[in-house]
Amino acid sequence: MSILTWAISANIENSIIEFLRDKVHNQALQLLDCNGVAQNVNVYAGRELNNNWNLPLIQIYLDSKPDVQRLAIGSNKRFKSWQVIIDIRTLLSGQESNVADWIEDEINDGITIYDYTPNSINPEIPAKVIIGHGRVDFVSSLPVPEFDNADKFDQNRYRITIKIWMNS
Amino acid sequence: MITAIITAKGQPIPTVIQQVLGEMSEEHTKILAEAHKVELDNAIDATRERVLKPTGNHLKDAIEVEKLNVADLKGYGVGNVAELNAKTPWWIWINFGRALSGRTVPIGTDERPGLQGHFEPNTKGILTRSQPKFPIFPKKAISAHNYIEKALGIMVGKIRELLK
Repeated sequence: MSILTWAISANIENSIIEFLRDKVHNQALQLLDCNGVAQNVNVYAGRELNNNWNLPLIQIYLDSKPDVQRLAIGSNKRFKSWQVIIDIRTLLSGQESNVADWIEDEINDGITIYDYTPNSINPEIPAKVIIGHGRVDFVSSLPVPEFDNADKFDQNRYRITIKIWMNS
Repeated sequence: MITAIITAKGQPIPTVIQQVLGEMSEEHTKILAEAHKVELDNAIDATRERVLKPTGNHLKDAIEVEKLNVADLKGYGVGNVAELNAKTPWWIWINFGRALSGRTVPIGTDERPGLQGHFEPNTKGILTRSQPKFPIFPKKAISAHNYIEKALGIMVGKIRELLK
């Protein structure tokens, strides 16, 4: 019996999250709130918005796999892409665009993709080995339309859509 | 592709080239717009959670390929936002997980007492407002389906193939 844990999609999703968390941490990236107090930028995983999340935040999740072309005729090797949504939600207007610019600069050269293995002793720190480099293509980058009575999570929102490319 | 340009006598070549390029560009944007419409339809169907309602406006019908002809702007667009806002304002809710009103969870009987009905069990049926009538209290927010981004992601890869 073999237990299937994380496959490539989960590995790619988590590699991006870990990459951005490291960048935020290493640069001690913060944004000011309406009182002029600096707030940490948080990076969260998941399609569903969680009301317990703290703003400002970067929400990341794998959305789809739009490309699965063959690398060559007669080969079962595929040139695949993984499409990832990055939703940015900030406390003050204008900050969402600044964070978007920062993210685009940081991920422009691609990211290291790891293969993660669950760690039962310390689940927060799974074991990992490098499996390749993911190239980044930008599919879209624009503010999300304003909503009439939006709550704090949707007042200042920006969405970046990227494709990660890897040979597999 | 080899293209032969036949000009009327006396027309300067740059003028003719400009005309031909203009027509080609317009034709290309039409091809892309029509392909994009197909991908949007596919993405909407692929992420559909309940059956298509039998009556009323449908998002797929409201997303249309439209010829643009405003000043120097000529070509084709897909999904006129003003039209979508008027006919199917839930286009934004389905894509981004938030309605234009700011709402995330669908309205229930507690807010609109007349809203009662039933869902066909085991068929992913839509709310049917006939007997038996039960009050409904939705609790789950509609999540982002990202059909716009899904279609864009496919189109980015298809552009070169479509314009061969």
